[in-house]
Amino acid sequence: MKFPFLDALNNADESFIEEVFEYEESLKRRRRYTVKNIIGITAAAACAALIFGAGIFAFGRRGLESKPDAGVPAPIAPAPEITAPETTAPADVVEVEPSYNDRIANGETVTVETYIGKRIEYQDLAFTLKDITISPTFPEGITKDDISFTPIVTAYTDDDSEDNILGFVGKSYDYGEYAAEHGLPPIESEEDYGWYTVRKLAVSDVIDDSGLYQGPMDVPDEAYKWVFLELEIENLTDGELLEYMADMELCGGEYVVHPTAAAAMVDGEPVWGEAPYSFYAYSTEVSYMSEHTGEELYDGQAEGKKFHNLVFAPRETKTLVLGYCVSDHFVYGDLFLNLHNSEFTYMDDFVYLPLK
Amino acid sequence: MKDEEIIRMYFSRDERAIKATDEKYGSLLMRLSEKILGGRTDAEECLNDAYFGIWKSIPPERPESLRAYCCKVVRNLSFKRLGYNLAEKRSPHSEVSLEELEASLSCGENFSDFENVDFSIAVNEFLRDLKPEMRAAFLKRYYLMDSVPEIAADLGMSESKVKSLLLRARKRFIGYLNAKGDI
Repeated sequence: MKFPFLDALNNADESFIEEVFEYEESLKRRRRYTVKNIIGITAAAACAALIFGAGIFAFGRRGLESKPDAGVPAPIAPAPEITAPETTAPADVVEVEPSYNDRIANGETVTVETYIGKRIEYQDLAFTLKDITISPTFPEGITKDDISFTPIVTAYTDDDSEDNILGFVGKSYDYGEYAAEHGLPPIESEEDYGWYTVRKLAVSDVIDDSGLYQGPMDVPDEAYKWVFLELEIENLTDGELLEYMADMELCGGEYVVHPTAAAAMVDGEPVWGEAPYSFYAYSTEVSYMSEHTGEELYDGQAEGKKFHNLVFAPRETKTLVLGYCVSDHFVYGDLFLNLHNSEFTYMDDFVYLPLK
Repeated sequence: MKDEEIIRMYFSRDERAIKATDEKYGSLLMRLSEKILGGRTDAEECLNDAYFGIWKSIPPERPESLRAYCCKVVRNLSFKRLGYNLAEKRSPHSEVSLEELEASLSCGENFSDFENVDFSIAVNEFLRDLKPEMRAAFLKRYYLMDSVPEIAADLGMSESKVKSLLLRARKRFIGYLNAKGDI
């Protein structure tokens, strides 16, 4: 037998196979439910507006009729000022019913606020959720329309056991499989993982043309600071970056914050993610990583901490610009760029990144 | 038509059962077989054999899930046919990708190292230990031969997450087999 491992899986009980189909179908149902929910909320809001408008109209008309000068055209009132939508407000609130295969046994309703992407990994909502609100504050002058991405909500409990991780953002993946699928050279040995030489690794103070960065890093004490990194990476051909830009981590003291970005633009083309500018936002705040073991780093949610988002902007050839906003509780951070693809090994070179 | 009705037809030896099975699950089964064999002609033949096998096996078998049962039969026959094709030097289109799948699933281990492992037990124990999400990703990849993008789309998760799940599942799988082999 040439494929004994694959063949061995034919021993899998049929109930597991059926479960896969049912799992998939339940997810589809849930997605439909969500879409319906969003549509419902929108429709309800529209109806409410209509009713409200009709009420105003009726009220105005009745008031007009009751006045002695009824019939005299009233001066046209100035139109209400239309204000731009709040850029900081979440666009949608999606309520996730705690029904998914009874894993949320306590009957709590989980509310996940998200915006723009509306991508929620329901299947991970297996435990009691805490504070997984995503409500980013964009820097002045930036609206959500300037940034397009798909946040992936990842939820955690405050229990740091592995079982209470409510999902994760892929920290590691199998390069071999990926390489095979994308026609990339296979990895023969550990050495073949290799490092790409980072020729220039610098914090870019101002990225004018992106319009995203508003000033130097020592911005006033705001909820978030935006930092952009401009990287030029040698030995890189278009499209390769996504294999190697696995994540980056911001370390401060014993804590490791890993925004877990895996997104890149090379020559103006997104090279990772399902959608342009997509990225993975690691929604938990601070994870303790005592040893760089490479797995299961998500130790729970530190109270009162903010999370990070990453955006990035297209730059010139072979230059990756990563930007992320960080909350102000980090005193210092060292930025490690992990260009490795699966394990948490670190570059020798890193930039010392004072955040405050 | 509901599965129970189809199974009832098998039991009453009503040949329309095969047509009903094909109408309901034919495309799924064909896709699975094609992924293994790499060619439509082979897959079609395999599917016909599978229907015949299902006809012969029900009754006495009464599968709880007709869909899963059919998948199992088709998968089994497809691998058998693949083995035959390879022995006859008929190189299927999918061999390369299957080799990659096999290589990734084995995590570099030799199957012969697990000679004393009872896979009919080990596989199911391993699967039982997985969380549904990981189990779904794992089985979709290595049982139903879906690609990572397909799995990501079907399970509503990022490709990165699928890969991460698969990586963990494979490590657990091999770890499990190693543990079983040591017993």
